[in-house]
Amino acid sequence: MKNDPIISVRNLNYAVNNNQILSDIFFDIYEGEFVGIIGPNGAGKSTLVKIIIGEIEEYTGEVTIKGKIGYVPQTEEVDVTFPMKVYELVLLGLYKDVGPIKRFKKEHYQKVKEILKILNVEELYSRQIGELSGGEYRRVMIARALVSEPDILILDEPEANIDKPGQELLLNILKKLKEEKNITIILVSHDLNMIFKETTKILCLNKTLHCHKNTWDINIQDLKNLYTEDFQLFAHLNGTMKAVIDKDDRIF
Amino acid sequence: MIEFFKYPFLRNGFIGAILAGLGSSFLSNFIILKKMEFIGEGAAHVAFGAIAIALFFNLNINVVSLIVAIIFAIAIHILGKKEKVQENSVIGMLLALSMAIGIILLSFKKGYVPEIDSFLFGDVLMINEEDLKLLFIFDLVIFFYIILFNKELKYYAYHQKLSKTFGVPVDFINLSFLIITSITIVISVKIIGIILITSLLITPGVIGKLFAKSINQMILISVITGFLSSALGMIASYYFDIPSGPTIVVTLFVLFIISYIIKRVLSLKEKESL
Ligand SMILES: Nc1ncnc2c1ncn2[C@@H]1O[C@H](COP(=O)(O)OP(=O)(O)OP(=O)(O)O)[C@@H](O)[C@H]1O
Ligand SMILES: [Mg+2]
Repeated sequence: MKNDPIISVRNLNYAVNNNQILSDIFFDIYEGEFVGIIGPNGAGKSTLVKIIIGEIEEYTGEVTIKGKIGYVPQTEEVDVTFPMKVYELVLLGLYKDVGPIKRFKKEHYQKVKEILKILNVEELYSRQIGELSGGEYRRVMIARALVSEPDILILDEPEANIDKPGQELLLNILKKLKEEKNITIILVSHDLNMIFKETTKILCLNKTLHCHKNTWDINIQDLKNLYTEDFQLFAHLNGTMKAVIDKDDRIF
Repeated sequence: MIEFFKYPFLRNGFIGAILAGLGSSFLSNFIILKKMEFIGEGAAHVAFGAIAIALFFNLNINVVSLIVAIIFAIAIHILGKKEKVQENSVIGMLLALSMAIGIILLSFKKGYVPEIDSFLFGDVLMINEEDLKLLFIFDLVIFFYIILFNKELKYYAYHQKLSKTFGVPVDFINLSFLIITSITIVISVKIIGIILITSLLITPGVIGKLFAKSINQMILISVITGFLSSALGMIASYYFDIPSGPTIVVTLFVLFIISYIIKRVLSLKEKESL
């Protein structure tokens, strides 16, 4: 089993109007891995994720997925006056279990209740989506991704808008899912502190893949290559987060 | 009220207006939630070209309209897969082109030609039994379509791209919705008019959205609004001897103003009670 990647990307290229956004990307992700994707703004992280989940289809190359994906987008432009309640939005995560024409059943509503409870927002169940705060909406998005019990969970900067307790709760949920169900997690984030602490593998992305390593093996040169212009800032960031860089330039 | 039904053309007009009002107001919910008001306008103008072609070549107006509506819907569906801006520009161009061709053809046509005004503002005198049957069938189609694909239409209107990634068959919904909408518009144009049908495709949904907490509440409110405006508009147009299309539009707008005021009062009261 271990030799069979759950996600396999081969020779991936993607351009919009002659603007090359992703070039020659190759990687495999295996079951149970916790993969962090890092890179500067505009590096193509969200684009890569959208290709994996099937939102973008106009790429060239091969992307193979084996398993059910749960996805939390970085942003979701919605009409806040749309007449819809939170549970209806979370039910969208169970759409594939029901399919066209048929109606959602009691068990589906029950699952929605449970997942909102796990995320500590059960009181939002029948709230209008337009009445949610930014962080509440994000938690609902996470609930929608988790409710279908996916094999692969892809989160694009899920910590955005979420308060500190919420972030810790999210991390604990992710760790528990990994322990209990061995789900594969892909986490896009600018919170390098969290990425280095939690993930097992890291993809360094800036239009092309700069590195794909065990988190332990990432060294300062990898980060220098990745964040060319922001390196000063990054070194400072390391200072404040008390990261230790050993003589081989490895980061703890 | 009784004398209203004595004359067949008045009766046909009354029933036709109500059938057109029901169909359009059902669709208006998704048109405004999906923000595609312009498509309605496009289909209505394209219908004019279709009617002119039918008149010029002595073909059945309904048959030509149906074919043109389906072609229009498929074209918009395919274009919509590309860029949004492009789609609206293309509709804008097709809309004017279709009107232009229609006017040119009608200017060449010899013998009886209805006034262009009748198409722009609607004319209940043009309605025949075949139109009524067609309208009735399409109201049924819309009704069952919305019942069957209720959750699909909801998610599609909420966020087409996102819903696609969750497995909702949005391509099918998009195409079928466009076809049904275009057909409804072209068969309603004779009654309410090209310029005025936009009002029936927007206002009922807007009123529904003011009060609704769910999409089905919104549909219910909008359909009641559509029914009321058609019925009241037709009655008013008869008693005051004014054109029916514009009367329906004015009625709709009055209903909107009343709803808006009620909504403001309700939300003020809500704030006070907090
Ligand atoms: N729809 C689009 N059309 C054209 N270019 C786009 C589109 N979406 C994104 N891009 C471009 O693709 C590049 C990568 O964008 P992407 O959103 O994937 O970056 P990202 O790594 O997620 O950045 P961030 O950290 O800011 O979220 C950017 O240069 C962006 O301008
Ligand atoms: Mg991004």
